Amino acid sequence: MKVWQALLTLDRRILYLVLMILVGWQVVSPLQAENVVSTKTDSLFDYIDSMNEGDVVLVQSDWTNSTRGESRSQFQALMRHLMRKKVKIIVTSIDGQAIEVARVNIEEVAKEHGNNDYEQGRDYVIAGFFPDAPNYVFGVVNDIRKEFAPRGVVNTPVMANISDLSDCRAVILVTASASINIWYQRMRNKTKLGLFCTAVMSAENIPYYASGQLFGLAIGAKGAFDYETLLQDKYKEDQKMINLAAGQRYMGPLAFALMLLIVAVIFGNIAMVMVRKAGNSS
Amino acid sequence: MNWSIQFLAQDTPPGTNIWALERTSDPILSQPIFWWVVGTIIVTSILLFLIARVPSNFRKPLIVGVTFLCGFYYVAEWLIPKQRLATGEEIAPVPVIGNWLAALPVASSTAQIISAMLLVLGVISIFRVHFGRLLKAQKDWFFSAVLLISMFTMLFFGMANFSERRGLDVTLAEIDKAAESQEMSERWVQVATLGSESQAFTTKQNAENDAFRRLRKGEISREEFETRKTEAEDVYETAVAASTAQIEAAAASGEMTPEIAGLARAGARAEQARGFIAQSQRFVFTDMLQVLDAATFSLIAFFILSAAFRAFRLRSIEATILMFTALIILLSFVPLGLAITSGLPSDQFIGNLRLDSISDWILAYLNTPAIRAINLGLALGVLAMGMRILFGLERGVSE
Repeated sequence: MKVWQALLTLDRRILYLVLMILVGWQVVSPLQAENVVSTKTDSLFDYIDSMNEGDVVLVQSDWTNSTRGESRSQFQALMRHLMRKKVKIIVTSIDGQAIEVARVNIEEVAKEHGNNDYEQGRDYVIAGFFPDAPNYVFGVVNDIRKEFAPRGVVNTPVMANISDLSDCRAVILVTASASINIWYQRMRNKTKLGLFCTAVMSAENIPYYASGQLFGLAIGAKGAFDYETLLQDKYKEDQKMINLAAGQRYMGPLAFALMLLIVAVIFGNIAMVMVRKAGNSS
Repeated sequence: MNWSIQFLAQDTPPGTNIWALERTSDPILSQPIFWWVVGTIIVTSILLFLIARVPSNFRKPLIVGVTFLCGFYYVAEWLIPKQRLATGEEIAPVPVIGNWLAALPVASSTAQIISAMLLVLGVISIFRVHFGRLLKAQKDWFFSAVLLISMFTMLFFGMANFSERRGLDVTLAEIDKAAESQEMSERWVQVATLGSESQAFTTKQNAENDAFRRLRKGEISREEFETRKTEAEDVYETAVAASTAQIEAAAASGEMTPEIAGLARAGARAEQARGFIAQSQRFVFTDMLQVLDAATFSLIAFFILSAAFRAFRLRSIEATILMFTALIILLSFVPLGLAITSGLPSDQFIGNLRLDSISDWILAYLNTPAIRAINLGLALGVLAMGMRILFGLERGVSE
């Protein structure tokens, strides 16, 4: 009985310590398990993989390092794929910090082996931060060239063949917020819409995947690992290419953190039942 | 009237469309865009001055009226029928003012400009509050000082870096021009040399990183790792020597080849990235702000664990269902969780008991209808709130 009582009043610092030890162990020496790729990420990868050299996509990056664990590996995996396919990229954001974070990550990925030395202005452009999301999306849908004209990107090779949003192969959002809702409302089926979102945003976006409004969906750190697994399957011939990166590395710590959470909830409930039972019998 | 709407929408032919004006290297005072901006600032200032002078008893009707007109404009976009021309263009003709749809971009651009102005207003407001606290040496003045120093440091390096990047664009355009006319100069020799070093260094770094990853995974031995590092160093030296010979040949002939232009472009980027401003901006933004951001949010894991342990109790049937559903979904988000049932064949009936199958079923058949119902309720609530704002019934608008 004392054990259950003690468990029920366990000092939270002990839980913190266990979490630190488990995550620390997995960061240093992660356990790996075979990945089962989600069909949602599979659809996302397949559509992007069907793009041809010279196609253009609009990537809206709305994440900062507060969701680095999920969004950074998603964004980097997406960039690796687009760069290897020689797809031209227009990057925008509705978050002031996010656009700089995107720039840093693109420059980092562009330097990697096999990513075709992507160069700003020639292969990708950064159209910048837009403070008013609904009107920015309206502007892009209505007249993409006019919307981006003040940003000095419309006369670059990237936008040479773009006169309307429908000339882009896709709009892809990497986001930690509900910024995609405006695209659902205002895109008027001009092109396809894809999404990389955090795990907490998944529940509200899955209905749009089910209805066909999203051509694919990568969810959280697992989504990033799924995408990396698919990249690894496709590009495993060139061993110098980085395919399995942070998405894979984060799986071990995430798995053990979640399992600790599950164990804590189960034991917390058992302790509650046992203490209540003992109270009734006495 | 129609002309004025088209002008504001910047649909008029080049010459009056200010965004279509070419950027030139002329002095700023002789550029038309400068005078457009000055004119806009003067007109806006006069408008704001006049609005501030409106008698207080007219302010409420003015705010409600403007709110109604602006809000109704966006509602009308969706509700009023439009005519689709054979060209595919949509028009909504109205007597006197013509095609009012042409003015939608004006409304959109205006809203964006106002949002951008709000950011500046936010900075001014923060400055006023904290500078006042600092001057009066009020409680916690030290934190106000830290905030103001951080804000202005970030502002300075951010804007200076942006300006430098604009300068880089000009340099890149000059390199393209030189490549077109095949003109080589001393400046391009220096930049191309830097570019060749930078490119060779990236290749070397990639090779070293690859070797380190393999060493960590146990795919290669320590000796093999050292050999690969030495090879990477040799490749670097050879690549730099080859590029230097190429650049010297181009300098001697005075002709810029496409390869040299590529090196010069890389060099110009490296030069900008290695500058004091770019390094400082990287330090304050990437190495400080972003790291602090990530560290702060990573603390959430501890709080979630502690809260779940104390609060997630099976006190009712609903709580029990919620907990078991949450456990299944949580496990399905990690390969180690999926591995528990991955042995079950997915093409047989028993495959329905795989964690990924159960999780997909929950998300598709339980979560989706529930979210749709919530969204419908939410939309009705937003509609009601929108109507209240539109008709000036909401306190924030009407009082």
